[in-house]
Amino acid sequence: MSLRPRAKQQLAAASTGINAYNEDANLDIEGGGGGIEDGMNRKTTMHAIASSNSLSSNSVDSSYSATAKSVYSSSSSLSDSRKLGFSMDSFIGQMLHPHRASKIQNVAQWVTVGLLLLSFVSMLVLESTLGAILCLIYAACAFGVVVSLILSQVVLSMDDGTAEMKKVSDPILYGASGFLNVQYNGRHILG
Amino acid sequence: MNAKKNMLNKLAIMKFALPLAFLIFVSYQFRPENNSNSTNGSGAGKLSNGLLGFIVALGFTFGALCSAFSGYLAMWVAARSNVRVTSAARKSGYHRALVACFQGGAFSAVLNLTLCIGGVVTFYTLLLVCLVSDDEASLVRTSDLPMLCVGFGFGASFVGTL
Repeated sequence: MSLRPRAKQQLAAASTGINAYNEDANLDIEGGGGGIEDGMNRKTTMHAIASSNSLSSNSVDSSYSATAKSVYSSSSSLSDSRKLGFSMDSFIGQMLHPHRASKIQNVAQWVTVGLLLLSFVSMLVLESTLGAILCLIYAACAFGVVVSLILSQVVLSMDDGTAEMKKVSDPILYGASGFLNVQYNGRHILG
Repeated sequence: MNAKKNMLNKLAIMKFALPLAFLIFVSYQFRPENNSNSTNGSGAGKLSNGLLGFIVALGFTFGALCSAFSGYLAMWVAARSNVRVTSAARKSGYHRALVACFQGGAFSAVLNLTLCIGGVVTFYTLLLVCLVSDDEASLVRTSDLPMLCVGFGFGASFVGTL
């Protein structure tokens, strides 16, 4: 019932957001476009573009973490990230950047503990060769769960754009969540 | 007031998957019983119709659950990683944008592989514990089990296609 006016609001916000973002992009091209073609391979280009976009930070790492507003809480502490049992900084290195501690890490931790317990129980209960194989496979599955959760966390804790970009991207999110609701909640199909 | 009805209304895919699993179970009941030539028949073929249909329907449901879970989470993350890739390209250039793009895709890939391997191995182990014994008289041998796991792939690709 209440979906239609909300969708209209979102679409109106989307159209204004697109216009605003176009203006913003034009301004950016006028301001820092010279640097793009001149020195694509120079670090100073990055600084020029960053300063032309009036960012608060020039360094890459702080731009990753400083202005991120995401579903994850921003309270970061290394001691919480060590709860996973290994330090991701030394493990995958540059691929996975320092991340934030959140509830989802606890979920990953308990899923991992459960899968490892399942593997050890299977190793004890079943016969030896099959138990060893199952132990290996469930440990690999636990590793996969941890890696996928950390990957999602790294992606979701990135910066999700300026306010104009959010005006464009939020209706897309709304449409995607509407599709998922129709597909998985199904009140509109048969209900 | 109707929480139970809401629970039943959830999962539109389940509304398609559960009747289809029941249809699979029913369709196995029309299979002709060929227990007469039991000397050279395959092991899985000697199971009764009801048990065989139940195994395939159970695998179908389990595969549909795994595929629905991975599909939901992959789309949830992928819809949010678009604007983050854009923002990284705007701020930090090609390298960070490509890394963000790769991480957003690698999430769904790792999750799909994990659920695929974990689901198949769990279902195989369930069948192995329930059906196979070391006796010579046991109907199902270990080499017959992959034919019984076919319902898992059917259910997973059903939800993936829908």
